[in-house]
Amino acid sequence: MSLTPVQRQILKFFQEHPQAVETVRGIATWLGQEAEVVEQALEGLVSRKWLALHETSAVRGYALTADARFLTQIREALGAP
Amino acid sequence: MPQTIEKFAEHPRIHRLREVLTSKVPRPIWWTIPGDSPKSLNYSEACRTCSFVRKPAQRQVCQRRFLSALSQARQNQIPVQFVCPIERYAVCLPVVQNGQTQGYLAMCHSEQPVPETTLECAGLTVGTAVEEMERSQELKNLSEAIQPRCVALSTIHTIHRLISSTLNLEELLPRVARLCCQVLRVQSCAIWLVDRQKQLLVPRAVIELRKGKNWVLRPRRIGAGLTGQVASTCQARLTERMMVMPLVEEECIGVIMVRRGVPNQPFSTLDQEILTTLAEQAVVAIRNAQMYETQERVTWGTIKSLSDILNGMEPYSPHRTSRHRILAEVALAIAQKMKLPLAQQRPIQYAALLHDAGRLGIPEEILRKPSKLEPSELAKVREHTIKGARLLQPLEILEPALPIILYHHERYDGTGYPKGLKKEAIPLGARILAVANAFEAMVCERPYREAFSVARAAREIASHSGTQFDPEVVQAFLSVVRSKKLKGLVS
Repeated sequence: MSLTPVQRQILKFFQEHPQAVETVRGIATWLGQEAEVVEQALEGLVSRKWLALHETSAVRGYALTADARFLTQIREALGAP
Repeated sequence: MPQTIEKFAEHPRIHRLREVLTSKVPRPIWWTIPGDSPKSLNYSEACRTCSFVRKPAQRQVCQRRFLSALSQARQNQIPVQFVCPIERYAVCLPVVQNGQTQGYLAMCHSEQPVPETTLECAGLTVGTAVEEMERSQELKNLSEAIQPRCVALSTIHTIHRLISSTLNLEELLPRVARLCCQVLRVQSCAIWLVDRQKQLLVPRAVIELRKGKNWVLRPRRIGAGLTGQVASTCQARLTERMMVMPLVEEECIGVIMVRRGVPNQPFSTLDQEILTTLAEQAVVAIRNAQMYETQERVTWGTIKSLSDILNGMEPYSPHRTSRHRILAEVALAIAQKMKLPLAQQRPIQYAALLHDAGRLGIPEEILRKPSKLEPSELAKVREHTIKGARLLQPLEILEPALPIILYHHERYDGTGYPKGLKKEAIPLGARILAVANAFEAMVCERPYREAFSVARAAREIASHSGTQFDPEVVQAFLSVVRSKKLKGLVS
């Protein structure tokens, strides 16, 4: 399954800032994208387990996975055009 | 400054300048010459257009004149025009930054001279382009320096929101530990809280991300061992593989420890700063949760006492107090099975303890009457839900429990009281309490009949699913019964 351009942008953002924990709105601001588009892209990345989701009833914070296997998959996916 | 003179030549202003000059000169030769004082020129491009420079000896002549013009342009830092060996015109534009010549743009092979005013404008255009690229580079550098800090600030804000959105310590502490692992990219994190009475650090949360590893924590005496020393001195400790940070609010309330799975990756000062910030945020959240827990305990105690007083005053039921507690436990078990949030579970427990408070206003002879009640008496009994809610209304803490008390005798099919509400119009807490109340009534002995077994009571409730009771609540209740959670409670 290929990555959408926004998903690539999101993954690059988290590769550059692996310590970040960010909301949909925050990521949309950093990337200059619509929040709805970012939210949809994030869902796909969370379901692949490439991003971790820290969730409460009020807040959803997204972050890069800590799992080395998935980090390798991300590097490979971003390496491919 | 342009990183390379080639890149500078791609600047939109330079591109436009080349277009303007090229429009006046047929087949010009453009040069981008790097460096302050070039010793030779690369003629590979020029050879394609100019036949004169194809011969090495002639090329030497051209190059001498060209380099001389470049030298003049460098010395005066202005555009220089010269005539080449084949009587064509050439222009050298020095690219100057902070008084230093970084390279040159040049054009040759023109049959006509470039007018002085055009040459002057070309020089100004190059200067403006250099300034613009400098500014652009400065902005880029600034952005690169600021963005990580902005992202870090935003992360701290998100974390603050994540950890301050719960007042339940059992939820909060693992969440803090998990976020520490996330932000510091470590594999393990543990949190101990201080038990002042026992002078111990008690482990409360541990996150271990390494597969197959299990980090077993034990209570530590304050002052003993690494974590104990951190707690007694309130000073952070850093080793090659771990950071231990005190959680301090006037005094130490706990300790947080993070560990890397891989050695030879020492923690940096920035890592220590990050953990300090996280610890500061965690302290506020932990203190709030602890204060909330204390307040909850006080409230719970008060309500239990109130329940005991109210139910103890009821005339014919000496065991009513313990029965109310059974009811509260059953209702809570159903609410938990239905995965209701904690904020919804508490009011159900409160309502379970106080649901019959309104019976106080019912005359003793009606409550004691062993035979069937007259319609007027029945109406009085049915008023107890409204009276109970009204009696408890002044207690603000019970506000979320009042609708549960008011509507716990409503039936799912709309034939209940006081309002004859149907299905989802009945508050969920009241639908849960209705099931728990019926169960408690059946399994506890009455003056006029023996107690039902749990199995019989469950069958009875199941048979009224969809009529008297909400089927979803009945399902959850039956699942609680199957899990045998109620066995000890009822026996």
